[in-house]
Amino acid sequence: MRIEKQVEAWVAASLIEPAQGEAIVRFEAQSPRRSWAMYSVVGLGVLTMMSGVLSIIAANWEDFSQAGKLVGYFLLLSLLGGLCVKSRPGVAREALLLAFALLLLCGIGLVGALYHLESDGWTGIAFWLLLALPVTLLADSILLPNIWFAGFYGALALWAIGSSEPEMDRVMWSIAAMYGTLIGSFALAGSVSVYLLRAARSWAVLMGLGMGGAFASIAWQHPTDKLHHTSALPSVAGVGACVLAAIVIASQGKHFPRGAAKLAGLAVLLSGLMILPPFLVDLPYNRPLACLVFLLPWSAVAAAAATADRKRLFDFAIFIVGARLVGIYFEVIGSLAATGIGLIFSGALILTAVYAWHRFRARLAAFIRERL
Amino acid sequence: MNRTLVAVVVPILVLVLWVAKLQLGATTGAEVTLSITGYDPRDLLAGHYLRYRVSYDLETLCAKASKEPTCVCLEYSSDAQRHQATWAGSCEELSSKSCGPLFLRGVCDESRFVAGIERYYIPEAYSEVLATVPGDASIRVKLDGDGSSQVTAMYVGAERVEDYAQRLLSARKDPE
Repeated sequence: MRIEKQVEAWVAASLIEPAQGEAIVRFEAQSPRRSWAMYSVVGLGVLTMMSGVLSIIAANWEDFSQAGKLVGYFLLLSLLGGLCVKSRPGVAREALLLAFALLLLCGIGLVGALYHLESDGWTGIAFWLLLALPVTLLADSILLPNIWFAGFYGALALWAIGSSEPEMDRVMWSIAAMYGTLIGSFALAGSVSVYLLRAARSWAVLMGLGMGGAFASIAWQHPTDKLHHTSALPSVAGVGACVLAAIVIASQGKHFPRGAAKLAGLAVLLSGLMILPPFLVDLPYNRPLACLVFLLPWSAVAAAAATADRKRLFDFAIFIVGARLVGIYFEVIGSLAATGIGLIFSGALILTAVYAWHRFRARLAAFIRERL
Repeated sequence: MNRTLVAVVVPILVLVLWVAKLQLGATTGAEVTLSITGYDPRDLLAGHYLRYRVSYDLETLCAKASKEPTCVCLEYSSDAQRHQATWAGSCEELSSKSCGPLFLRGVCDESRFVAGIERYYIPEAYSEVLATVPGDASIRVKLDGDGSSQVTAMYVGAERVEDYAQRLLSARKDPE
């Protein structure tokens, strides 16, 4: 709700005087507001331009000599760098930092092409992560940190997949690295950019509960002996990182409202229960168990979100839990001949669930808060 | 010191040093000529490149599929007018062989010896006439004496591949 409407409501409820309401509105109008939409659109523009630069490099124009390409590139990079140094905090500076970081990536591609370097994919991105880290630490928005972590997980995935088939030790090390970034994002709070830490947490949750959850759903329901060939050290690293991340987050009482830290730590622990077993043991085919290990971490996320008063996260987590429960229903009746009746009933069930969720979500959130 | 200045200058310096190292490798060291055969995929990050197999002409090379580091000794063959492999084995045995500076360090990827020289980037404009590696193609490689190598040029016969492709393109546009 915009501030003017809120103030109107407060004045109408006699919570504040009209003069106070006007002073609040004047004050908010003067305060610099960060428009997330503008940052997103600017980010899109910069990404598009840098994709164009990369494409030009990929074309490898024969009209320019090798020296000419390198000189032109370093001049452009220096110019962008100079503009970054001279710029003032704001949208323009964030755009320049992003463009500079992406131009570093273009430079790696250019040098690789000019000197015919062999690449396995992840080494180039890893090199870029190191080069771009200094400017990423300076970013005053989530834009560049998000791109940096996209590169981080991209490189991790390419490394884990390997040249021809996934190597299980590398997959386990990647999982350990994911939990490691979560640990670092809390351990380094106050020492590095808050936007970098925020991006670290968001991407760890996306990779863990999102990608990891999707993969785990498949692995648990279709166990295969191709997965559990992980060596001792990476297994210990994966499990250890998960447990340590859970402990670190559970101890962050000052960053979370009461109770939410412990629930968030529980969610991390349960995510490990979901992701790690396929790589550690020979799983039996057990659909109820597979569904349970998927639902548990998401339920913990919903509980933590309710306690922390994070409505959107709560709604999203409840939606995931609800969708999975409905999915289970579809899986059970899927083999019956009378699927038509079953689908009508399922549709009615979905509508009922949606109505109940819409009508009672506030009470559900309050119930969870009271219990905790 | 201005943090932004440091954050900007350091990566630029690192890139400059990297280019300097590669340029030094491309201009110093022993040069060898190796025959090749291959095909053309695309690298999304860096553009069109020709991917090929280097013909070492040594049957025992990578006979046992393993990812252990392998070294290959090279010697010039006046018949083939190219360098060919005379010995291949564990790099720890290299000191007992009289290779001199002409040796490559790599790994056996299944039955293929890979030394990081199996790729050559070409301008996009040439891709239509260089869909595959032409016959009688070879690469010039600089060796640094420590087994590291760097491709510096590709030839089709005695002609640089860029000139060869340019000639084919011109012939297509003007058949007469």
